[in-house]
Amino acid sequence: MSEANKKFLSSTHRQLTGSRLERLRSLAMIGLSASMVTTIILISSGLFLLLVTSALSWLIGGSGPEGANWSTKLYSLVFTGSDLGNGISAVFPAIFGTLALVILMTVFVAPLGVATALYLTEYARPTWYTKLIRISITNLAGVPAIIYGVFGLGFFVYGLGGQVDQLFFSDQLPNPTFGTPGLLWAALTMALLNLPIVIVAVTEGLDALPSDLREASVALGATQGETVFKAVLPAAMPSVFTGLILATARTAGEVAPLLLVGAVKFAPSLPFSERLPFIELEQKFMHVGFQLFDAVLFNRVDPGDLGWIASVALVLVLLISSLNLIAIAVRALVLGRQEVANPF
Amino acid sequence: MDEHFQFVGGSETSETGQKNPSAIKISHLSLGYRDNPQALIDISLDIPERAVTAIIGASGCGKSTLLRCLNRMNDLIDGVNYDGQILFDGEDILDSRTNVTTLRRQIGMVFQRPNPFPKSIFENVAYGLKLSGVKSRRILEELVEQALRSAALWDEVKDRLYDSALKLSLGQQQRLVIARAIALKPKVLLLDEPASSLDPISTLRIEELIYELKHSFTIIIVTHNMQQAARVSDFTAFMNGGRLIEFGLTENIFTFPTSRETEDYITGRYG
Amino acid sequence: MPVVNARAIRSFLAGLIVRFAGFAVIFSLLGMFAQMVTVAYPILAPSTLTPLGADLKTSAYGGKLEEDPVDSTCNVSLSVAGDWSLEGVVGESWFWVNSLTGFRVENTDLPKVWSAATAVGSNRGVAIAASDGVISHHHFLASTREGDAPWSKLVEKIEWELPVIKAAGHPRLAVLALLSEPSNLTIIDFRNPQVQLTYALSDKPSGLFWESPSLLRIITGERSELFEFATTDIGGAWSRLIKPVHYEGYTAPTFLWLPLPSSEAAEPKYSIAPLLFGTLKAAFLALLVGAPLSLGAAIYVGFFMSPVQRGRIRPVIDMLTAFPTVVLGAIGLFWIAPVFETVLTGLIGIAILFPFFIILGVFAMRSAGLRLVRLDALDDWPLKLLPVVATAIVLSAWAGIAASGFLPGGSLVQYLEGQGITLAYFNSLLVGLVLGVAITPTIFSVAEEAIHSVPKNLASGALALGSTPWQSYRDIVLPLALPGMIAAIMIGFGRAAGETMILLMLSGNTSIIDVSVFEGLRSVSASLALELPEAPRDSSHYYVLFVMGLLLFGITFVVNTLAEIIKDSVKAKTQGV
Repeated sequence: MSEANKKFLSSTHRQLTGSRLERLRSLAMIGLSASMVTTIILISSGLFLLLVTSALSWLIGGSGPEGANWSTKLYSLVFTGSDLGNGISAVFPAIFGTLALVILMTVFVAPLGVATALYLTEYARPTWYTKLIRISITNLAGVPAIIYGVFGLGFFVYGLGGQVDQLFFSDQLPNPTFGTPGLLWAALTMALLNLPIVIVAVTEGLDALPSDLREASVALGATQGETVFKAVLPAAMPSVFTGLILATARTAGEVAPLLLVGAVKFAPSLPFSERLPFIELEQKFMHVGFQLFDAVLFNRVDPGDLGWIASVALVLVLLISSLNLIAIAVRALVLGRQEVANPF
Repeated sequence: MDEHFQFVGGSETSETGQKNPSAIKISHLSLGYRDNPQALIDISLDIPERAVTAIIGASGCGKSTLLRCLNRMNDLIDGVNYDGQILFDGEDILDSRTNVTTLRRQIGMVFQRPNPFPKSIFENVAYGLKLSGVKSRRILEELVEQALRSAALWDEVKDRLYDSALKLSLGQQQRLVIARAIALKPKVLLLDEPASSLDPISTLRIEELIYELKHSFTIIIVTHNMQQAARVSDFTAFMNGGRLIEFGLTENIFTFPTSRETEDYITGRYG
Repeated sequence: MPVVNARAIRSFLAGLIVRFAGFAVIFSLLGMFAQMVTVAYPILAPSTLTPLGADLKTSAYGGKLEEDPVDSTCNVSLSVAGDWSLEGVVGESWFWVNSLTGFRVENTDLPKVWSAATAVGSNRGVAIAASDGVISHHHFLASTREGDAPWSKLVEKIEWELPVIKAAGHPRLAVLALLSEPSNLTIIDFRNPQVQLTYALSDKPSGLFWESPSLLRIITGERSELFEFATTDIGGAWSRLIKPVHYEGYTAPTFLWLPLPSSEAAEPKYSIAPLLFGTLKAAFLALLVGAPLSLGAAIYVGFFMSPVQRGRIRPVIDMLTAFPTVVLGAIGLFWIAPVFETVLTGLIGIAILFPFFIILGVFAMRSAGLRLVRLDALDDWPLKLLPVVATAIVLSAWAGIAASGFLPGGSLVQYLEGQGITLAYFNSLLVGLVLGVAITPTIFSVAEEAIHSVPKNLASGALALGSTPWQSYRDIVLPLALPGMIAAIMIGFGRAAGETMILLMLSGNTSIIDVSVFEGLRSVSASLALELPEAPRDSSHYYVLFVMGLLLFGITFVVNTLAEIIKDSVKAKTQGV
């Protein structure tokens, strides 16, 4: 037996007992990394619990005007607000404003995002510059939200808005009508912000479709337009919804750009009117996230009102989590559907 | 029938006629996991030492699962649970107190698709040695050369030991993986369809290698290729539906199978 | 013959619309950057001097001429802040004169022989054209002791050969207009002294004065000419945005961001440096908090978990994204900041003791015969470890808080005070903590993806050779996943750098360059959010803000692109296997 073999066998024997250290170390490291998972979950739950207990204790507890029980407070929270103390306003107009923003934003982002995704996957030839465009769009999803706000202010509010004022509202100048932050520009800015997300989501969905879908449609004599709109797009609808839901969640949660392009603490009226087009596009509007921000930063909030802050925060969190859950469910549906559609 | 395995051939003898002691004694092994609660059903089998035992059977019969029990690689499966006993070196492999890492150094494994590490050829073979505590560079080099020679790869790679292992052909990679396993001088070598992703020539070389290696190691090979089993092994076990149907000398299994199922499989009626 | 019918036409139109819309969107998205550049571009514009024309009504300006501070005896009196004024007579020393007490203090720093001297920049400084061919610019600085005379500090000197006829300082800016032989008008902007605007007048001029901050009138005998002086707040010297600048009233060049100083007359200060520093500091601290959490979790979920469990746990971890940053900021503001000292001591305790308690707990669970923690059944460790983790957090936090009582001074704050450090209410640590939690899901998902994409059979190979699960991760998987993990950190960094709400609410928005983590900071994003709504359109402030927006855009774009490149290089490597 060579010397090396002898050495190896004896060291192996040594190592058989020494490997205990390695096993303990393995246990320790895996334990530590698992504990990070636990910690993250604890943090989420902890934050959630904090908001819930604070909101509940405010709703049920003692602070607030005399004789107010929890249902009155809840009602006030949502609808009237003013009788709860200074600095507190009702959430309903903010929810309404957020809704208006979301709807308007979707009106812009849905066709444009879907069209762009369709263009990139179905119509454009896959050359190096389409690949470059795809990469750029993915990168744009990572651009901070505030930058979209900056752009929106410069281009939409002052640029386009200024032009519109010059052309159509010059009699009102120097008081700006459209040349100032408002619902329309906010919706456009948020649409721009969400475009990369929607495009990426829809593109993923389109890429995942089996190619026989398109081939089958063409084999039946359909034109390209018919293939795209009657076969491909309906099949990709789940991913369209996923994208739109993600966009909506983001619109509800991102406050930063709205600071620049349209949200305010208190708008004199809801942005709806009776005349065409039933929506006041140039008005400033309220937004749940902004409401929270404003209360936090610019208000002298009494300690007793913390619960109100928690309630508003909770509304926002619940809204966003339900949207995310819907997106997950839709995505699961997409994967499930694909298995059925493609039994190979 | 209570006894599911039929031992064919009288006594466990290798081709030299000597009686082989058992390297591994499997007793009433049952195994289930989340997706397949009855993957292995009451298997009892004695694996002869310093011989090649082939496990054959149709797809999904449990042969790879059985193999992976022997070095506790099944532990990685979701929701796995064992029943029964596997004796090796006097200890029960399945006992939860067993030191699995040292077990795996004594029972090595080669997988179906070659999986060399994205490191140099030398590093691949040396990895297990370093884990075992070999620190001296000189000893490592010597042991690596030994292993590569035993795997019939040395001449092809001796000039490029520090090149990336991924540059080797598939056949060479598989021999590298074998070298990696035998570098630790295990008692048993488990081969899970080692040649199924290789071309016929590489397959032949692997089979020749197995023939060489069985003088130093106990080899258990899972294969779906019956001809290969017939060529290479001394003993054969036939499995079906998670059960062991027959076990015995290869020549006997293939010429006078006792069980109807075995005969059907061997003659190609199914599988 | 191509088919032309209703279907074909509709299809063609549909295709046209899609192409057009797609193209328009791509164009707009990519053009965002270009548009912002066009808005910000004017900040680079140099100052300009435009002649507006001449007229003959010199007599109307007679009165103005008498205000010319240079009179026939070459005697100058400039009022400086407070009760002091600066008086100079050619050939003699300059004196600080107190109007109340009549006190006179000599100023030996200023040249005695000069041909023109005038106040510049709202009487915060003086420009003197000395006879030795040098024009010098000095700031007035108040003395540190009450009642003492102010002093002057030389800021810059310029070589000037031509004899100076008259000089007039700009009412607000540190800009000097001078008339020199034979008939030249020159504007020297001390913010950008190397670039001088010169105009050759038709006749020899006799006097000049600033009618307004943008109008300069030159008297030449019977006629007067009017000039328009247009400049931005930085006078075309864009280096003022990044270099330290010697502002009026300061003793040395500094980095300052103060675009809206409290007093009208003070000059706006546009150093981007403190804001960039703040952004980077916040992002770095956030990584310190978020990276260990997310990378540790990513290792566990990406490598040690089975597909089924992994599919379940990932959405749970993603639940953290349900908290928008405005909510996290609010929580930080109302629930964490008021008790931050306790939180900080608890966190220090956790940082030091948490790993120790976890390892202890894991070993205890294993050897207590409970067999709850088996090396081979790894899936539900997070759940099984829940009591251990909770206990570890509580114990180590408590230990930290209790330990702070033993510090000299009795508490952390007192101890820091003793060292000369004040813990600001809004400090960088608070920002880092909340921001770190905010970016955790981002880093987690990218890193986990990278770790999971390493083919499992490599790790199996290592395990079959007798490695422990951790060894198989560390030796085989980690090297391959490392670029992806680095990319994850970079993406997290980009996210933290661009984050606005948390920074707005918790940083205190103090624009300082201070390495101390106990002080606040001001980030680029927060400045954009606070100042853009107020900045008048097309003002220098507006332009500079857009420059900052572009900078932030650029930084995040570059970081994200690099991260994508790194991620793709991983795919190339693992595909070879």
